[in-house]
Amino acid sequence: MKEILFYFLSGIILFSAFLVIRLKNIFHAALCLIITFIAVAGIYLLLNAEFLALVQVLIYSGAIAILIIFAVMLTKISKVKIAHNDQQLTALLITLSLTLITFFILNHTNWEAGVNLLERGAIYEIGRELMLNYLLPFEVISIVLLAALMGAISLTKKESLNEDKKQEK
Amino acid sequence: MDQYLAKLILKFFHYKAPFLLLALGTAIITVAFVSLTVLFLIWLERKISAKIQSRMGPMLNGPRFMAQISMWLGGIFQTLWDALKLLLKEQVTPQNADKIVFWSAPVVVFTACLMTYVVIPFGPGLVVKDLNLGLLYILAVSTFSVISILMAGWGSNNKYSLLGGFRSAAQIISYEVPLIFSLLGVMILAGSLKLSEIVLAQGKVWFIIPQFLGFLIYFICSIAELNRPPFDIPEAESELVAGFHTEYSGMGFAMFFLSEFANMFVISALITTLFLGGWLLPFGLKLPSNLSFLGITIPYFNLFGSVLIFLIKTYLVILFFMWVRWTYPRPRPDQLMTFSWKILLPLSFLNLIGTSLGVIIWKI
Repeated sequence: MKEILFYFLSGIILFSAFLVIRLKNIFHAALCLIITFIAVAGIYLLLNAEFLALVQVLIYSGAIAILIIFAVMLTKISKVKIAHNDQQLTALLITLSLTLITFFILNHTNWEAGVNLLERGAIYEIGRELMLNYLLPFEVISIVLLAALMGAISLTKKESLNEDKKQEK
Repeated sequence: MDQYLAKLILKFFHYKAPFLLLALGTAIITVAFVSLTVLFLIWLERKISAKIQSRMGPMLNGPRFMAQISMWLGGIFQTLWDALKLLLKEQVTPQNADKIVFWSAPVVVFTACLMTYVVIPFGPGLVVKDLNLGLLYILAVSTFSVISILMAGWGSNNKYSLLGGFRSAAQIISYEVPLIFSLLGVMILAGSLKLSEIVLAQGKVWFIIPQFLGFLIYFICSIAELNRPPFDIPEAESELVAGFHTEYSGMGFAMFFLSEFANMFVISALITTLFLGGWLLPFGLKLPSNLSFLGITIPYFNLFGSVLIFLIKTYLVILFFMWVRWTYPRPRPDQLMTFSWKILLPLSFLNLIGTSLGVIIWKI
């Protein structure tokens, strides 16, 4: 049963991911991206990683995909309907080399076999690890995110200030 | 829920039901419950709006003698005929619409809405599937409704629909942040994301008392999430015709309409579960498991009583939603955004910090 589900979900992931890069209509591509994200969440569920699956749905299909659709809707419709790509060869080379590297890493890593059941649930363990063992990396990531946020705000602020000045002149 | 269903089937048919049959039975019960609730809610909304505006509301479709007793008994079949009319209407697809996206949007919105019913605990053990991460599940699943609104807005190929979709996405993204932060306080107090455990953690005191600020923030944000007035800028009739569902007719429109009310029931049930003690009585009172009255014993009184308490609380919250809807005017989109980012978000941070401090001080 689990294997059938796994192959079914993998099929959906591969097919929808293929559609994401091949569809001419960017809006349809973005919707296919959402299907891909949800199917990946399904794979996480098969691996008993419920927290990861739900966060995947919440963040990727709930926030990131919606932002992508938002950006697509803000562009001109005539431009959206005929997407074209001049760099297919470069993209193919890059993705092929990335795939090879990932494959190499996956093959040469010693994965710890056997999954211990978490006694007090995934959230408890994740929170404890983040706050005790990985506190420094966690804080560093939050500083990076904060910097990105402030950068985005300062960039947009500058533009709007310039526009205001132009209007005044 | 399926263990009770299995018991019932075993008792009446002497048959040990397999898992698939039980799952199918639970699904049918849930869908039937949702449809009936929605039909009743639409009628209730029309009656309450009528009461607030000093009208009678629908009075003619239903038994006449009941309508003569009180306005609250008139027109009880109104929504049934409305639903039948919508079923029989022609489905019009706009000429330049994106047909696949256009017709899959109502399906997505209704599916997302039905999926949230899975984790709502109506009583002890009366839940389709009591997930360990039930609260997170509801938050994750409810994001699909935004996607469907964007799909409807885009697929209709209509400027009003597109604008409605835009506004809706902007509104829901900005209100989702304080909404999730306001729920963190409840998660900290209960120490769990399982909805039944959150209910049981409220045995001594309902979370509305220590989490009043969180409750207020959640209530306001959920009105925005539901796209209900006064926060209904995605479908503001006076500016956008009907917003993202302008082009829908017949069942397509009915799906959006139904899921709007079904979502309102889910949100009210969630508020009941998280803040109002779910199926529990106040002050730690307990229901007897069997009630004997005048020599008649009612078995499973505990169960029925719990469901009754839960439904009463939920309907009180729904009445509050409707009261707010027919009382306040609609703000401008920019006022709406400012309110979320500059008032609700800092308040929800304050609530989170205060709750964490309180838990640290009182529990250690």
